[in-house]
Amino acid sequence: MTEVLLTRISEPEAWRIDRYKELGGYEALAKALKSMTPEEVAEEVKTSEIRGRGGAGFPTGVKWGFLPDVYPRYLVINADEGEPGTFKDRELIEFDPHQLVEGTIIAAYALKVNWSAIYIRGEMVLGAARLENAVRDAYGAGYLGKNILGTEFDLDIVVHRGAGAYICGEETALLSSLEGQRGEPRLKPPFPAVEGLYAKPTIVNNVETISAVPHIVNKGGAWYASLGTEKSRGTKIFSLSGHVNRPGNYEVELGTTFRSLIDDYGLGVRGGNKLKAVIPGGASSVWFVEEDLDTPLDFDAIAAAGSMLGSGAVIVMDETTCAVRAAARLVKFFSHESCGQCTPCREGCAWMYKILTRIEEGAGRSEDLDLLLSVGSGITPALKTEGRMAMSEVLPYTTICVLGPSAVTAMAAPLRLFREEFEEHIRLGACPKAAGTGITTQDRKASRG
Amino acid sequence: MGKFSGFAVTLRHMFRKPVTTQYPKEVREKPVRFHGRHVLNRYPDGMEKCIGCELCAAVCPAKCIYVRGKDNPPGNPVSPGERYGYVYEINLLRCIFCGLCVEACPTTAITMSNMFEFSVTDRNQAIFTKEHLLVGEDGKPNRKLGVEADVTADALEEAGGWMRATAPGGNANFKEEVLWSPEAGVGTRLPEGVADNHPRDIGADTRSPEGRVEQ
Amino acid sequence: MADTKASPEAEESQASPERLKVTIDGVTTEVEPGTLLIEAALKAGKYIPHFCWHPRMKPVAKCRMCLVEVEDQRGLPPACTTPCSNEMVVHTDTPIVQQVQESVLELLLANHPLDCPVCDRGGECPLQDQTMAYGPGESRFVEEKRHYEKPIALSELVLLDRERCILCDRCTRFADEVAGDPLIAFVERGNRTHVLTFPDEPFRSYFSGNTIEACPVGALTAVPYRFKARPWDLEEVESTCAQCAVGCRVKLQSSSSRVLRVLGVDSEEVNQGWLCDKGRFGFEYLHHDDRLTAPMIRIDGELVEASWGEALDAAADGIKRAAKEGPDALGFLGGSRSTTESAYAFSKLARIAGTNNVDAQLGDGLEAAFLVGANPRASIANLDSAAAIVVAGPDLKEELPVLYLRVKQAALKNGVPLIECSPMQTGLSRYAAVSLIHRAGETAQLLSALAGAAQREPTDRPPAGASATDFQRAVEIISEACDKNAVVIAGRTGLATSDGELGASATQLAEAIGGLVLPVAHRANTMGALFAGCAPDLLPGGSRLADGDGGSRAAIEKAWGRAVPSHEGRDASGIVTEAARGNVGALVLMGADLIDDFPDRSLGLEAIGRTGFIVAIDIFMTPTAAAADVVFPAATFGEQSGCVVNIEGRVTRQVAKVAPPGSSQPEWYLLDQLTSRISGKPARWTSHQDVFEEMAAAAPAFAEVTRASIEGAKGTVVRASDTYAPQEIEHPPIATDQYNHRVIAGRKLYGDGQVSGRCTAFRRIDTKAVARLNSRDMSRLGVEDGVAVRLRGARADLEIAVMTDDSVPEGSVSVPFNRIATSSGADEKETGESALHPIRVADLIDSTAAVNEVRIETLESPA
Repeated sequence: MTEVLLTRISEPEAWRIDRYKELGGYEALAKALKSMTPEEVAEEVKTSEIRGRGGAGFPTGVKWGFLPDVYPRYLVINADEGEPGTFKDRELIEFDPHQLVEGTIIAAYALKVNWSAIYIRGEMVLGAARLENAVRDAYGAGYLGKNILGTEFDLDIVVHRGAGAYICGEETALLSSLEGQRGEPRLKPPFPAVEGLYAKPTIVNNVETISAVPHIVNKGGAWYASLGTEKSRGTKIFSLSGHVNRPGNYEVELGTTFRSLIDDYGLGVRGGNKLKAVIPGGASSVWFVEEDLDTPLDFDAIAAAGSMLGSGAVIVMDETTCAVRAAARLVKFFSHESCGQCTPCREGCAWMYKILTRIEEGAGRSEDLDLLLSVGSGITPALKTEGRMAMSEVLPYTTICVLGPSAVTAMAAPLRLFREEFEEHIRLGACPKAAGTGITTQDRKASRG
Repeated sequence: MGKFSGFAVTLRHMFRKPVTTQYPKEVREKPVRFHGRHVLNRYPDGMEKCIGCELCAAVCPAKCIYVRGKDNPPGNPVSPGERYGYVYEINLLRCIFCGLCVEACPTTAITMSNMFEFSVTDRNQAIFTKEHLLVGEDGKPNRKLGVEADVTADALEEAGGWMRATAPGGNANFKEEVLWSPEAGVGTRLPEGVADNHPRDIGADTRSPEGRVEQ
Repeated sequence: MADTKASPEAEESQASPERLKVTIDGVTTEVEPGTLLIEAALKAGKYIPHFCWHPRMKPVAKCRMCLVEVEDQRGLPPACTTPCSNEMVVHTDTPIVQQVQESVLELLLANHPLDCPVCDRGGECPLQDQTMAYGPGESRFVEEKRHYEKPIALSELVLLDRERCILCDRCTRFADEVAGDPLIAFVERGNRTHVLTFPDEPFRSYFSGNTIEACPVGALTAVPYRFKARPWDLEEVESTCAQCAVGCRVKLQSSSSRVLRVLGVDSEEVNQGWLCDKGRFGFEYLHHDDRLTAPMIRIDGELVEASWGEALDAAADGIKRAAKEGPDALGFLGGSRSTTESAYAFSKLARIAGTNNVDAQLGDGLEAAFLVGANPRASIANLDSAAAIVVAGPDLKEELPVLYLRVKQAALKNGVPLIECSPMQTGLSRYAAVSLIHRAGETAQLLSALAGAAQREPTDRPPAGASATDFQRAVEIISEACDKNAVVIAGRTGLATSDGELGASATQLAEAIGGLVLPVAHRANTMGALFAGCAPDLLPGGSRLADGDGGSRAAIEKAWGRAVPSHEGRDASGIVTEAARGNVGALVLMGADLIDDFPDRSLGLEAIGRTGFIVAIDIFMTPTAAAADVVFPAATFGEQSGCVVNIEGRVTRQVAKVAPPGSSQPEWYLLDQLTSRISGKPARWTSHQDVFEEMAAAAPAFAEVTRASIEGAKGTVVRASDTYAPQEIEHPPIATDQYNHRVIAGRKLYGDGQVSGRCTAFRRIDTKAVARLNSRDMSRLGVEDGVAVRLRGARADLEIAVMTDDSVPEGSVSVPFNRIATSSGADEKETGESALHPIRVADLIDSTAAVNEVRIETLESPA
């Protein structure tokens, strides 16, 4: 484990400003503001080659470079962590909020931004409270407000709590929500870097990305770039969950394998069961199986294996898992969270969920599996019907944002991996996994929220 | 020789049973798909099937149908749904009995019966309104007094409707489900597969194939 | 100078040098930069299916129906948001595009109820049509559909069936973007998204009907049209709306000789496809049982039905008898509700009968010479590209709603600075850069001061009580807009003020800033009537009678074979005032109601009481008609053809669609008969075209207006032969008594008039009148909302409930002119139209005064 961002997590009360300062906090801020120009800070970040930790993995330095010379411009921190299985930002905010605040101030300085917002998921009650306290304390200590640390630089940070929509984790929907509109993704182009919040140039960065900035400033971009692999530099926090013996957040150098993550950090699959599948990068990624476990945790290697690193949510499922139910549960999530503006996503996700539930409840028809794939192809026309699914099949997609395609992946990846299991469900009119467990589909129906 | 062959024909016919029937004392059995005058059907609960959509009027090549819809009174609906046909008139002098109205009807509200005995002395009498066309609550057709006076109650019982048994959308894989029952009213819409065996009737038990009345 | 300004189109075509070449399915077309792919495709003759895109609204790409393939471009861009670029190659019918279209339709239909047979949209439904053309043929959706309560009322006029809604965002976008009334919005998300109003706040927009027309399915339906007909029953003609002087182009649809629906026509020049709800739903009066069906004459004090011959003879005799007393013994009022042809016939009858006492405006307009001869005159489309707009007139939202939309669009979308000169805040105040709220009745002074300030004449204090800072800002804006086609919209600001010099001041301001003038009038064909000569000082064609000794007068006299009288005629107020003194022997009223539709009701009643002989040509037995000696039933909008002239001077056609009730006739017909009986010459006309041709031949202004040129939505703009050139303006001082409140009497869109009171669609809309007062005046009086007070006016007292409204300035009181003021008003409406409403706002007004003031008294609280 190579801990950079998580170093202070286990320290008691590191969320308090005095503790944070004792542990070396706000040194990077002083260094950046007093001895570096904004351009030098941005250059350091570019040198670090850090890629966005929110899911898309776009190089942060490059993204910062897209800002046109228009003022005012805004920096928005995306703390609306909603991807199922992801809980890294929550921990970063709850236990080390000042790291994020410091990163935000430095990033704002680098971007010549004087107003920044942190859009935090409303459900993170503790995190939001600690973050709000941290921002207040930072104002008190002179790290925020006018003339920070005696320099000419001014910055205000607003902590905005979301109202519980997954789609607001999508950057343009987040900006709409922040403006007080419905949280609906916007058409791109124009991209937020050109026309974002209040139609001004806006950079939207993930909590983890920004939290790394103080370390990059402190130790230099070259140091950061020395970690990880050639295309995926640095460390990344993986949220390991599901059927492992020790779930949790683990910060590892990029390039570690899935097997190492599951066995060395997660201490193996629970109860010594056989592994069935791994969702490697959040609910919208293509599932991996046992044979894929030697893939290194690296943006490009995972993409080459047909999936994506995404937000770093690794969900492990052992052999007792029902693939149909897992798919139905995931699609339900996407259907529930669809914003409703594009027809294919709004209607398609709900339809897929209805079919999957029907199969799960024992009322499947033989034509349902092809129908599912066909409905999916309404969202991602290039979706194939056979063989293992590859992430590339979701291009092109017929919706504005990628929520719809995510639902297709969540349905098609397990369906194509475990088609026999789906067929057996239909044939038996019940869940084969439930046989012998005493759990009937009726029970499941009752337990379904 | 030649001149007698003509008489042979005459002779042969002299001993034949006459084709002429003593109508109206004797009434010939009418074919199943007889295009008699229209009836408007009801659902078993007494609701009218007609929703006033005017598709029959739109398709009518003789332009003999006039329909106007209206909002169902919320407390006491006439038909299921929002709208019912509150004016329904057929000018039977114009009607060419082609049955396109029956095919166009989305709720099978209008069907054709085997009733054909209506002679009028005034053109206005040939306009049958909803009052005459709508079947009674028991599913039996009404008659237009003064015009259909000759129709006996028994003949009304006999009145049979028909539906051309086509699947919606012309689907060849149409399953053998009776599409259109139970009901109060005449005519049954048959599944496509048994289209060649038309019953002439009716009744509450037409749901099961066994219950169908054989000719 | 005027000519170059009037044609901004010419400038535009020069300003676009480069054009883009786009190839769509092998068809290459050239388009302007900025054109969207979907528009370019239409131009190339290729229809790209779509639901959410609407040419008059911002594209949102929500329905995903218009996805296409573009060569060298990744993904499937939506044609409705993709701008064309040069050498773009687009495919709209590749297998993948077809697959997407099929699947979008299947998905849209998944939860769409198939109740097409009972749906008002069935048969003309874009979803039906596009499913037939691009759909998959059969649905595979076997799950239960989404259910909502069917239909819910969004307002008194619009119903919403959320099951049918495909969430295209057209209605919500319209309400927000176009109408500026964002009262409907999406609620919930995902598959449960639906359109709804805010709790307890109905979709009470004056433009709500447009959402019904824009809806691509039958989710929004109109209460008045609900289940009245199916699309294939309807026959339609294109016509011009007769509700106000904007002259929106409409489609008039009828079945079985009843008008059932009015739809908008997208006319770039006038209404851009939008209609107000009054224009859209205000046609039911046509088939009201109260319509007059036969002529009536008064015998022994009773009006009884008579034959046309008897009635015409009686009317002609009465007019001839009075004419012997001299030209001032006759008065001809009306014409602004009729076609231009009928107005011409009216003007001609008056002149043949020997008088110039003819007026179409009925005491609530501006100088006739200004209205027809405003120079340089603006068109409605000029507003889009104006450098600034000055609105000095009524609340456009209430009186000319579609013009309001255009002004709002100019201000909001094109960023045209808007200066509002109004005695109180109006619907436009929200969009105005400056609202110069001033004392009612002194708008002309304000405009003159603006004109002076624009010419660098310093004003120490802005007149009429306007704020000095606002005035300064307004001056800055108009100085900025000098010589750049600024538009001054000028109309009567209210019925309680005479606004005598407003036309002159508006012209003065336009001259000072090198701008254009757009005069506005209230009734639909006021301009047409004035152009037809229904004004004491105008001849047909809008030429001045006084100096018309040249060509036009001669031409008219030649056409008529009669000399045009040359005495100085009286306008409506003058005629009514004289009549009230008992000096008028005969009044001929054509669609003119002196009791319910004249600003000074007591004067009107007096005039009717003291006039010996009254001929009323009307469609209902109005209180005035009930007092007449001869009543003729007239055909009206939708029942007669003819042309109308809108505020810009645009001549368009009104087309007959249904038969008039009973033996009602177009006015020109009976006026021709009367003319013949009076002049002794045979009647001339057999159709409205005969009238038109005589008018066109007689009036030089109509020379370019031919029957062919007024066909279609664009029509032809007519210009008066004599332009308006005001003399030196003198504003008479207006004394103010500080214990008094100045009356602002404007019209509301929905009123209790003879026509809109008879439209069942508007019956459920609350039209009770209240007096609106500033909160400070309210607290000074010590009254609360809903409490009745007494307004003591010069003519009468009025008891009316008050309401706090800070859009009314201190010291003023706003009362709606066209609503019943008594608290029993609503009940009267229920029980039917009583002929004489006991008290109306019009009772308060003295039309001879420059301004009207009232004292407000609180009533003793009931024990």
